[in-house]
Amino acid sequence: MAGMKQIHRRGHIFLQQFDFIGVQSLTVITFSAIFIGAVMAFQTYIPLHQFGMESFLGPSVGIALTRELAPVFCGIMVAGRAGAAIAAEIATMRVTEQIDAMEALGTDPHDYIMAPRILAGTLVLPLLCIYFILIGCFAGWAIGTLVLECDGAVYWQQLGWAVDFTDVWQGLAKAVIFGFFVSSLGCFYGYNAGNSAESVGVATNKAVVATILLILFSDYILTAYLPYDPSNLILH
Amino acid sequence: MTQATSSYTDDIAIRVRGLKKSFGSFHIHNGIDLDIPVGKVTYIMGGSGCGKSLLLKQIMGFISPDVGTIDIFGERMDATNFQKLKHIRRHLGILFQNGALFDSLSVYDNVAFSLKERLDLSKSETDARVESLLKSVGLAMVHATKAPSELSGGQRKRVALARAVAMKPKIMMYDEPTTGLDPVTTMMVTNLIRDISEEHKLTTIVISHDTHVVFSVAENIAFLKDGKVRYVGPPRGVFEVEDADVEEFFVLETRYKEEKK
Repeated sequence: MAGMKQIHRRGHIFLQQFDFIGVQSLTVITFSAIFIGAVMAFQTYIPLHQFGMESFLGPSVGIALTRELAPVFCGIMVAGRAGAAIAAEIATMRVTEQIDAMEALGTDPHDYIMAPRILAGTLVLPLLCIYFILIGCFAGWAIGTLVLECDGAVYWQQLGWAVDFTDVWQGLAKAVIFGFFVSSLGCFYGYNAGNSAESVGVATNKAVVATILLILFSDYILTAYLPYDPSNLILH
Repeated sequence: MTQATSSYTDDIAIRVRGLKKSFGSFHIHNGIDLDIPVGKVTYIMGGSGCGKSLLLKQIMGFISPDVGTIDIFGERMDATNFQKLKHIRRHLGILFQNGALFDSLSVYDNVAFSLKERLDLSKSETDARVESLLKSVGLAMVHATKAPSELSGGQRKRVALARAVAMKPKIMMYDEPTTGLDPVTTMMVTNLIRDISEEHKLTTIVISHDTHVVFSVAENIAFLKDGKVRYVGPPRGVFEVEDADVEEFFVLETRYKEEKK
């Protein structure tokens, strides 16, 4: 019974963090997706037009967003918004002795503060990534049809044909890993902050810079080595 | 799980032996030996930077000593083992200098924090305990829904005190409880420390600079200087000990405070 109550209490914090990291990031993710999708449409249209391959606009935008741009930009945007806030909040708790007070009251801060945030960040980023892909593809379609005068039906038909399960799996696998990095590095730098007011800023800065660099580095590793087919993970 | 010390006796709540702690080239503690008697109010005093608060943090297990041991009711403190710390900390309560209330929680949730985390109480039982705890520190339930940011400095300390004694610790520690408070609130907090100690029959440790209130509340004083305990004993004994540093601290501080009045 006590265990159930504790799960309920942690569940409440998890939902708060899910809302903070995920739902409250929707505005910034929406605008990022619109602009990235629109720019992708413009940039890929130029070479495609030179070869008379405008019908490949949908696949270009769709694959680039799904495999690469959505997870990376979601990771970076959420690192700047929520990762920084997590680091600052926990560092402030450290400076004001709230973490010491929690330990003194017999509650493990790793369990109470960090676990719900890391879990929420890891689970919410793939959902944001799916949302980013959808909005980005619509933005690409809008630019393609309204500005570049491409055929909208061909855009969707070709996009649907080109983007398959393996693209989605790779994009979402990256998003899960980036979500873990964003929330866990925010928690790590916040928790290990010093005891001065300055250390809150330092922890926040370190968390954002380290997360973005780790996202970019691991993106390269994942792109190079993540199996094209997820079943290969099990076979290997 | 816990290691009993051979020299432990029932009238000692905390036994500190040979405690040394350095930060780089700064040697804060140079071999502290101190016994905190059960059921008494002990003031740990000394100048700024002498390691009073550090000693409290080591007793709480927030910081490990470089050398030396701390036994609490005969159990050896080990800051590297959270489960063991949790076991020992059930005896301990602490009031931090600025209260350290959880900003994101209301006054009610702050006071009820350990009740909810560690006990299996119903909502009505928790409500009753919170009301009783707030009342014991002189606050009404009307404050329960407030955020910590809506409270004054004195009220924050009272809420933090209610939170600290919620699990009925045997030892209550106060880290400079009157620092930054006006004289009226200082007196109120000091009286509260005495009342809470008597009401709950607590072993109390107070870290303080304030020589003015110490003689009316303390039953035992430990004076730290140069990383060592230079005096331990009853408050009036500080005027009889032949130690220039002890005399300088207590006589000059007391004279300075009286002149200021």
